[in-house]
Amino acid sequence: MRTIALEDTADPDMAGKIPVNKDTDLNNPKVFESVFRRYYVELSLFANRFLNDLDMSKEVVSDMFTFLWERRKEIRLNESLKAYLYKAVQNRCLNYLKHKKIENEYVNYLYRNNLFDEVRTSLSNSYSQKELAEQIQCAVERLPEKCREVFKLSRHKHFKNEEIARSLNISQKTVERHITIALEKLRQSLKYLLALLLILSEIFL
Amino acid sequence: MERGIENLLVKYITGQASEEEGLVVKDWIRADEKNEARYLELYETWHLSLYADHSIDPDLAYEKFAKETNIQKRTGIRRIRAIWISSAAVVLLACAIGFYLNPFGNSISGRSEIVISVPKGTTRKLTLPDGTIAWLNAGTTLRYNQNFGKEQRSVYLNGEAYFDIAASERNIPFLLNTDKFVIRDIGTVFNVKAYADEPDFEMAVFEGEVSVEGKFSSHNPQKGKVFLSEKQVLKVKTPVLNKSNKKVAEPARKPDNNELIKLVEVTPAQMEEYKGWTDNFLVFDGESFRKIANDFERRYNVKITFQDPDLEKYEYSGTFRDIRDIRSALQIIKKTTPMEYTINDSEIIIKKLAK
Repeated sequence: MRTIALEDTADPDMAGKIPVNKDTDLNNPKVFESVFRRYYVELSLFANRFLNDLDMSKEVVSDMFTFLWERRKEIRLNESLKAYLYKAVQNRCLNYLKHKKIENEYVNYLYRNNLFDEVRTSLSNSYSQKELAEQIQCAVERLPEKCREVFKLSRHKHFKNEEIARSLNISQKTVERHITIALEKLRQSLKYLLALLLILSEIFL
Repeated sequence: MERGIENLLVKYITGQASEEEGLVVKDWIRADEKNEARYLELYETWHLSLYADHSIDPDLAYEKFAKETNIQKRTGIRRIRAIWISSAAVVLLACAIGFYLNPFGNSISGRSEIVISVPKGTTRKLTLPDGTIAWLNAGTTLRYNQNFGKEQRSVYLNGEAYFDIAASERNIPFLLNTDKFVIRDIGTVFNVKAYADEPDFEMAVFEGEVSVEGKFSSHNPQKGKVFLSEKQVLKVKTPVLNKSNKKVAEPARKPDNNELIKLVEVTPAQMEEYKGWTDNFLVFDGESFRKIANDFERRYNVKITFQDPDLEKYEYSGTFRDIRDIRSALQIIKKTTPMEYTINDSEIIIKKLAK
């Protein structure tokens, strides 16, 4: 038996013909659509860092796009469209938290240390989404079997601990322990990807 | 660190802590910078791990957005014939769906049928009206009735597709018809490979359970039913029927029943073989060169002929990642195989390396 392995690292994000910068013509519905499709997922994940609620995060991103479409004629971009989108989503999230009086320790930390710009830049410019997904997928696959099963149900199926316990016929405590172990193992293998760590090491080391 | 607080911390981060537990954790985080650093790292890890989750569907979101803003009537069916474009543009439009209406409709119900054809050389992802997500591999056709999702959920498949079936509120079963089998399911994830012009039928279940019903043997006229659950793969080899329903490519010797049908448990890593193509990977696990060539033919829209039957039987394991053209793919195989090839437009001939 023979083994084949080859990588083609061309970034599919770069293959788009429509330039996404301040000259992007948002009046063109086709362009707008491609912008929406291209950024929807990463913006939702970005919003989720502040809100820690995926459904809400998706809603915030959709609302932002609706706003952008309705005001497209008035908006003048001084920066890249991508930078604008990230900033708009961040502002909406922070307003939402303020309005709902929700406390998030992560957000508090960013406020205290004035790190919003750094985190946003680091996240929006880091890896291509596909690459990131692959690396994380690999790390998840390396988890011990039971641990992985529980983690996937929790993270990707959005099951509550109680539901996981019931469907796998194990105790809730066991579920909690599996998730704790999974997260710690992932932290170790993904260390180099953590946005905040990169920033912290730049500042303190 | 103490296990109790670590568990609580994780519960808090994953949004599963009670209000009281949350207060305890917050106090703990604020008590010490080290605790805070620990929290931040795990919080980041938790959010990072979501990047591997594909449950966020930009197609659905865009449809909703388009409806709300009237930006473009893209929801529903576009009455244009899809135009197949060069590969660079395909990347950009990877999620856009090409629909065209079959003007003759379905003669039984009198309603229009929706036909989605993916040409060779490309793959396509689409969301069906019930929320089911389907990836269609190259050279695949998927048909369904316009009233799909209302009283029935039946689709007809010729080719290979990866389905993430949406749960149905009214428990309408999802029926997938191939040329030989009917697959029934009410909410699961699976890959099925059923090209009418190939003898191999392959079905891999990633989540949930399904049943496969049909004639499993050409010698036995009775229909059978096989149940598959997670991490199981069903392989069936049946003679290829041509248009006049006559057997073609009859194997030289009659295969026994063991060769006709096989149900195996596989590891999660092996499961990759059955869905890698949705990520532009081609994953092979001990497949014959002939079978790989069949995949190449569809993926790169070429025709591959072997001059030497021995070469067809070579077996390979490995993964092709994002290989854009057939030339690079063949170059890789050539490294470990005594072969040479000639490419003439889309006709490829593979022969044994002359000594």
